[in-house]
Amino acid sequence: MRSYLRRGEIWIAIGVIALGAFMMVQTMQINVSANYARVGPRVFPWIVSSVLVLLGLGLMRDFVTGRWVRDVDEEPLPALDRTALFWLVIGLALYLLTIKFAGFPIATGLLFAFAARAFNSRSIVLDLAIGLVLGIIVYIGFHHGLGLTLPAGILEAVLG
Amino acid sequence: MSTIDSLMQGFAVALTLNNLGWAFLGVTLGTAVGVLPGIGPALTVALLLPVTFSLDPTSAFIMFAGIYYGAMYGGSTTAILLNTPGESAAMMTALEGNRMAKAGRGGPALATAAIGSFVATTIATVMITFLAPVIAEFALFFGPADYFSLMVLAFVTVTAVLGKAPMRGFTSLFFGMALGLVGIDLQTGQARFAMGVPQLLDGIDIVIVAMGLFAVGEVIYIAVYAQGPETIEPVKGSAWMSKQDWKRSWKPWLRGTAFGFTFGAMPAGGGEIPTFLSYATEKKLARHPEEFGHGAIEGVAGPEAANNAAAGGVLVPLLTLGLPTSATAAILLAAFQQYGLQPGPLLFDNSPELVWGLIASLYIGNVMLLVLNLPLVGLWVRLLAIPRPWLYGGILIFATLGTYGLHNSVVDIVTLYVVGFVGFLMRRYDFPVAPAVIGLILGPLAEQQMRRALAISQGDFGVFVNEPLSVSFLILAVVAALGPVIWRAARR
Repeated sequence: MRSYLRRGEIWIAIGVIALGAFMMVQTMQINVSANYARVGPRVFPWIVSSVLVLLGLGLMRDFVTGRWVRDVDEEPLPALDRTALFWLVIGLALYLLTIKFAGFPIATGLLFAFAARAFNSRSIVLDLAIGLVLGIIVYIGFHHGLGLTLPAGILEAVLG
Repeated sequence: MSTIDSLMQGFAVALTLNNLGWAFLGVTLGTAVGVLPGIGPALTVALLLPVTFSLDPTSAFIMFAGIYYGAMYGGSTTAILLNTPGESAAMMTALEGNRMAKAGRGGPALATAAIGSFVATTIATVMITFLAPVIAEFALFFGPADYFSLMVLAFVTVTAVLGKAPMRGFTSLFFGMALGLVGIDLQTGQARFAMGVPQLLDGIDIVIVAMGLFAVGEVIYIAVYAQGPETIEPVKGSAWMSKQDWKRSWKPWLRGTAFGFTFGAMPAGGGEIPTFLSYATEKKLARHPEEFGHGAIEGVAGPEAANNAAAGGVLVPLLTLGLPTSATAAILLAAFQQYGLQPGPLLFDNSPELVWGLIASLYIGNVMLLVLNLPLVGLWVRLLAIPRPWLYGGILIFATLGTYGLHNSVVDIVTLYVVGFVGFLMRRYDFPVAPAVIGLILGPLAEQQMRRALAISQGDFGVFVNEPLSVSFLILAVVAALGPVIWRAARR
């Protein structure tokens, strides 16, 4: 049993079951007025959530009985590259935190540089510069050219 | 009005200077983005959606048609020179085409792919022109129960027919449907699964899900697992096809087109099956089957034609029934919905200018693409050499731009990351991604038709088996679901 719990597949199956169960709970909280009682807003959610639970159980059975085989790659996956993951997560988190106040061009520049770092780029200053320039070009193109609203943030005075 | 008249009117729309410009911009952008490694047609269309936000619907869809076909052309270049298929339908092209490129026959491989795509797409577009109005006419008789059962059939075929991992395919499909349930229920106005987050009341945008699954998930996967060295095969030797190459290519083009269009136009989902069938057929019919796996030109010509014909064929159920059977078609459907248009039989009556303008621009875009891809292929090949850190950084910034640009909402960004992480897990554990995208867009439509049908029948579920059309679709769905299982059991 322990050895199963160390494999990702089993947690995927558990996750699918949990998602279905969570949806069932949420389904019970959907308001149903009397008029729609028969085919109301709950019917389809019930179907989807219960099928998800069944699929999760099916996945679990497939894994335990050895029927779950990877069919894309013949070679086993290499070990997960933690450093790359670390830089990516930092980049994505910074984007989320800076987009509102620092503005689109700066958030974009940061994301670009950290993503590049995750892919083993060594010149962080150059990447930051490229990202920032890209961000400004995209901002001008989309904001002024195509009328898409994007936050300029602290560069508001410069970019208008 | 006859089909020819309608088509002529479509050309009148598509041939205005403005719309020619949008078509040209569409095919150019579609090819350029489609060439980039790691970006398949579905992501190309999703990434380029924001570009069309401010256009009027007709011009926007003319541009989309260009992007859609352009992405297909661009994808084959990447598959051949880099051996990275952007979608599973390009796997066969990558397999055989990359071997050709390694053997110094990259030029003929690219040429047979481009010309084969042109032949296949032209035939497919002619078929769309004459088939679509007929099916649209027929579809006017469909009731809600028929539509619902047809959607069930589409769910099964896009998910299970490949048969390798139906359990994972259906999990992906129902995950997509679960996401599709979030938001206000349109018929009763009740909030569902919004968990008190007001931004979720409008539902989860398909663009965000596509960006999450195809862009963020893919970039994470490549970053943590697949940072190996890649080799771009240089195009050496003759770039043009020899007489022998032509002789070996034209029949596979036509056979591939036949497979591709048939499967694409039936609500049977995308280009995977026809490309596999085309490859197997060419291998069987070839005079030198031993060349297959070592760079046989037939193995590029056939599957590539099949892939492009299928991409054209997919437009038939999309335009006439509102039924998307590939991830790319699902995103196109979302684009229609953004303009308040619902594809289906009524679209042909209500917006003839748009539909026929779109179809006419498919012909035009296809000719533009042949010109863009034969003499100018060297230009696109340079895009392959973009340093990987900048390529994936670029994919991420455009995915976040496409997401944030929708409603300027940080909640959307969080949704993008969550879906992206799920996409990474799906990639890691071999879940197909396309069913999730199709489930997201088709799930709510299926629910709507189901409830309409049940409202008419006053809650009697028998309505789905009492209508002759509806029950036929359901029987086909059962056959499609159980067929592979029985087949495998019988072979044991």
